[in-house]
Amino acid sequence: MTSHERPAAHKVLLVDDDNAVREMMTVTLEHKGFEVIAAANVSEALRFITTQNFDVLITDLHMPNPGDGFTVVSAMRHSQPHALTLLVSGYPDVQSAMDTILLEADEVIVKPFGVRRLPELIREKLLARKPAPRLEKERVGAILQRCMPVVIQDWLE
Amino acid sequence: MVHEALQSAVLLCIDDNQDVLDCERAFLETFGYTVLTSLSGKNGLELASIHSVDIVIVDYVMPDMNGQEFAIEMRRLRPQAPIIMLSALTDIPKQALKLVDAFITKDHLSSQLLPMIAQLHETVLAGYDA
Repeated sequence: MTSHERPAAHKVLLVDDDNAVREMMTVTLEHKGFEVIAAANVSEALRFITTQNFDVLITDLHMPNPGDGFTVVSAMRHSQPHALTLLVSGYPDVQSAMDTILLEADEVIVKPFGVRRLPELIREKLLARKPAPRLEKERVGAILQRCMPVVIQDWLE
Repeated sequence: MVHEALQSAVLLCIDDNQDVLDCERAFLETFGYTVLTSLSGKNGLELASIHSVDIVIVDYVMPDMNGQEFAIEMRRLRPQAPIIMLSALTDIPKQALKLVDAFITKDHLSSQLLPMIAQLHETVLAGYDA
């Protein structure tokens, strides 16, 4: 894709405690047409999750405190369930994998994960993502009105 | 013309941190550069001996062969290739800094690396033209 064919900017929350990694990934994703908000730690990430809307979360699993990446994924899942969540981990151990499944992260990316393919991976996942079912609100009166002929027919029979 | 030449430059990145190396590669390829990567100075020298390398970007703190030791060997192998040294540290020995063309702290990589590469490569191209 050339720089002239940029799609609408999806908003990404990028969480990584390594300054060099975070800054280079930010510039790379921005150059590929994403809007990126970067957080250096869990506190920052949680603050962004509660104050802004995101399409995608990319978070490192192994930050200074144990379980940090999971905390961010879990917060995003609860606060913004429609957001695509990508968890980056250097150690694909069983417990981490199980926790991730329980948290329903969309993808576990094991390092070295090829940052080059990350923009394409995000777009593929966003395209493949099924829209969450929307529950339309309807007043009780409207439901009764709509169902009345069927109810009366059943009652007569 | 110079712009096209800059984009076709071959960069050799050496860092023992796989995450940083991956990001450097993605970052620089995004801006059109051809990037070779190595997790060690020794392997980096092997790559430099078999590939045409325009600019070298090397981390200072690495096991086995640090950035200073690498720069000494690289100067012997390809004296014309500029070397950019990176580090999370800021107190790099003066002897190491004398061996390289530029030094960038890792906290400023995304803002300083591209302009520095462009500047050094233009200098190299100007040397060829002269």
